[in-house]
Amino acid sequence: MDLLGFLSIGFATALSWSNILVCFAGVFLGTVIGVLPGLGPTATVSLLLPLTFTMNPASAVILMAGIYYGSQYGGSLTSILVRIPGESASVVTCIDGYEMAKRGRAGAALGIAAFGSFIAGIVVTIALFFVGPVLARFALRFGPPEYAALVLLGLLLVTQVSQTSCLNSLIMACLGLLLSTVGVDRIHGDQRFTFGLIGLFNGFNVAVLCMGLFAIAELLTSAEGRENTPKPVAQPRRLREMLPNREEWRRSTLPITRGTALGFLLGILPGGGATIASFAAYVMERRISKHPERFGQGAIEGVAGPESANNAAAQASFIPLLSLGIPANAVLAVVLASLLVQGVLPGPTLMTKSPDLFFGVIISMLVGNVILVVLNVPLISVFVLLLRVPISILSPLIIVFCVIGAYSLDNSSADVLMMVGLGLAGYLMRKVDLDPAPLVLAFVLGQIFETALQQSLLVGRGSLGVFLDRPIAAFLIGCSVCLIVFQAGGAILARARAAAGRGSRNESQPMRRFSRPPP
Amino acid sequence: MTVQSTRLGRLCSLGLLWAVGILAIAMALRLGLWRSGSPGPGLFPFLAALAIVVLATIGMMAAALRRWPAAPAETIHARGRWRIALYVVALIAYALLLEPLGFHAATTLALLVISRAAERLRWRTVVPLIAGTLFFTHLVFARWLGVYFPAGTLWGDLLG
Amino acid sequence: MWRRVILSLLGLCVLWATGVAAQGYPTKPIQMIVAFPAGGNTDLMARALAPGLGKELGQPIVIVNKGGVGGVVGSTDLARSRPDGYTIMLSPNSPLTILPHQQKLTYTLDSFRFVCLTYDNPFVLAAGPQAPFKTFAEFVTFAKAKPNNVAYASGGPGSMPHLLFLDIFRQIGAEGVHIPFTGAGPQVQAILGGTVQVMIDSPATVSSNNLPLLAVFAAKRLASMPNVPTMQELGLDLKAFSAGGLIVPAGTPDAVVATLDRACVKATESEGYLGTLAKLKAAARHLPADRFRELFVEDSARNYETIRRAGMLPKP
Repeated sequence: MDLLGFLSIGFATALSWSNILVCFAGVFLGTVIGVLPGLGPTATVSLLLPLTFTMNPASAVILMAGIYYGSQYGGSLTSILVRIPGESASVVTCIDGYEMAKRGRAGAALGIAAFGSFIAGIVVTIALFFVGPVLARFALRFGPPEYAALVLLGLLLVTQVSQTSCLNSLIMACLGLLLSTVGVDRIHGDQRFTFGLIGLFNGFNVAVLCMGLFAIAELLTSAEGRENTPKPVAQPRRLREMLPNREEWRRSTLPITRGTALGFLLGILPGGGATIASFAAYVMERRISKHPERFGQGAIEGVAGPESANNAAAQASFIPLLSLGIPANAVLAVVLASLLVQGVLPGPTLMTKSPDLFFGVIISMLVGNVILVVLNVPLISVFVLLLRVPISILSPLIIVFCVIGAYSLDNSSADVLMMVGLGLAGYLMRKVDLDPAPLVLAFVLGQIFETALQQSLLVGRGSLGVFLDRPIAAFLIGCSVCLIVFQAGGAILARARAAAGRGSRNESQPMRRFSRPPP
Repeated sequence: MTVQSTRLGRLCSLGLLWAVGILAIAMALRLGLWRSGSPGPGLFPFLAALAIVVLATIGMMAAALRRWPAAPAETIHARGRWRIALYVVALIAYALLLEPLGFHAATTLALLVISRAAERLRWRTVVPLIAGTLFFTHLVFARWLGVYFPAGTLWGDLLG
Repeated sequence: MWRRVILSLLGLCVLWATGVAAQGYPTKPIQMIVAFPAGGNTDLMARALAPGLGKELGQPIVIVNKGGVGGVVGSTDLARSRPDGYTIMLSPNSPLTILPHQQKLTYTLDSFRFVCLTYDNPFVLAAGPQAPFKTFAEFVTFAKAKPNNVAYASGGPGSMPHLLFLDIFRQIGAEGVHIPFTGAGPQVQAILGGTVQVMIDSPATVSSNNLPLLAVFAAKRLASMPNVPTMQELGLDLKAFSAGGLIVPAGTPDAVVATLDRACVKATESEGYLGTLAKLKAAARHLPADRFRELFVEDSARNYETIRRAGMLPKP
């Protein structure tokens, strides 16, 4: 069968009434759980797993896919409005999204997140249709050494996600790396830093980390300073004024394009994932930008890039799942289980054996993205109303949602306790101007890095030569070396220039998070 | 506004991280840095902790040598301090009581402390807030999404 | 007014609770712990069983996933819960017969009462598409050609596949390189990409990519793959399974266990259960409490021996 035939099968499946309905249900539910802080897509698809046993396999995957990318969509909402990331992929959206909201551009941030995700979704769907399976084969050449090299590159970018001083970011990143080693060692099986407590055997869950360090910490900070917090800047009342204006669109076009490409490439790699894609997109925009100083002060590029990237990655990750049977994360592992129960074996033959499933799912993403944008954009004016709810009523509600979310991960109150502990730690960190964003990124990367590095050494039978023998790994290592040289050289140059100019500048500038910017 | 703008605050925070780093180094050394020709379980945490200690040392030295502007006036309201203490107590109690008391009772308790004691909302706001939250979470999470809410282990012992 | 509401609610609770105590088991929904995340193999086995079991008992079975550390978290939870039959667990052998030998845990096999075995999953030894061997004999020759010639994947140190590989290499007189991964997905990726040459997993996992299958760990050949020889046929003394069943905390009354077992027999024979397991290429198998316990005790002793030989016992 040729591509045209596949295309028509895909459309026939995705555009059947029942599947449009299922797709709608999926993206709607995804948006809802994305909007509610706490409950993430993993918990939701797990809970819906039994339901899919009785559905037809294509509809089951369409539903779960809808929940997954719908939640990436909805997740930007709480990040932008209340600085609460529901999961690690939306942590970076908080940085500039929340600043935009504080400056009265909440609607624009939400709008660009929605449109950016939409554009990314459409482009990625088309790309997946044509080159997805081919690229998935290529992704198999990513063994442990390649992952280790890729993640090393990511770790070098870690200081770029924060507005605080380089030293502070580095300390936070190292703390993130240290936290990522808590729990039972994946290679040796030793218990590390568990103190014999069974709740720590698993280590920290990244969702617990995000909810604690951001959501709970935010609530505690605002509880303390309520008397000092000035009235928020008024948001425009009409939807048209809320949406991104022409200037904002112009600034977002390229970030959306780049974010989409980056998300697509990282999403195809099994285990690459939406988190790394969103962080990488943010850092890339900041590096490329002619005005890097605007980042952290409400730069729309810092919302457009990451939001496009995480949506692109979420959708692209379905390709390794369907064409190789490799789930990229916990959400997709549940989707795989649902397929297995139905007696469908994902793999290279799936495309020809059940083209209705394979292409139906891809085409349904087009449908889903259209539904999402139609559903979400008019609702922006409603969402922005959330900013008018008094924080004294909002914060108890957010606490309940976060507790439900943390508990539902493993049905364990240890996770809830950890979230509270991390919330307290996050509150103290803010008081001393330490930013948790590098910590979260280093935590996510650290877990992959250590395991991949150890596996590489085992693959290379103990020799580091394994990194140089493999072309992709060697290339990535080369990139890291260049980056270090470039950064160090740039810093030295800048310092020399500054010294020659007007004397040395004060290195650490405390960031005033809760003070208003001058009007 | 932040504590960092005082020398003492900066030194204390970095000192705490320094101590965490030293503790982690000690524990990592006990895990073993090298095992049968390849990195042991302690190597990675050792390196991370070592970096924390080195960076914190640099930071503390810089803070000690730097000139600090005069400390800004304390801006935290007394009521803010009281409120944050109540929040922390309520959160810890919520986490600890979630399984013994069950979701509904623990949520009611936590919301009572937070909304009534900490936020000083009126009863006529507090009661609908709690009732609404319980109803909404029950409907959306327990009913529609099928989330498992702990029912409470204490009630059985108490009553049965 | 508020106090009155609370008091009346409390009163209602008391009334309800006394009503519960008066009737026979089961009178309220039963919580079934699965010590692994949703979508995992054990979880699917539990979800296949739950509807039938619930129907027989006349009460819904609520599956509660308490994942973590190969089942330790959920098992510890079960051992601590009230032995009244309202908290049960569907557990495979590994958390009970392997992990207590490797980690210091608060439970042993004796912390539980065994109700009935419900499934018996075979393991399959599969080779990668690029591996220079397609049969078990070729694998043995390749492995013996030089030490550490073969890299093998497992789901982590001390996991069942890891112990099995240790035993295989000991019996054929060779050495291999163990590369641990987290979960089945990364292992499949590694074997397709050529990072490892062999892996051991359930038939459903290894059959998705048409991997060459070298051997199956089962008493006789599987109906779904009749060309794959068993380990016994190949002359190796390896007994391994990933079987599981219902267990309850020690101290659960006999009457409750008997009720559960009666329901379990019917549920494991039901059409829905058998159909789901067939799709997952897993085998339903019912064993009564004593034989179920025997099977696990035997497995535990065997695993202890392998773990001791590999020097993986916990430091005192």
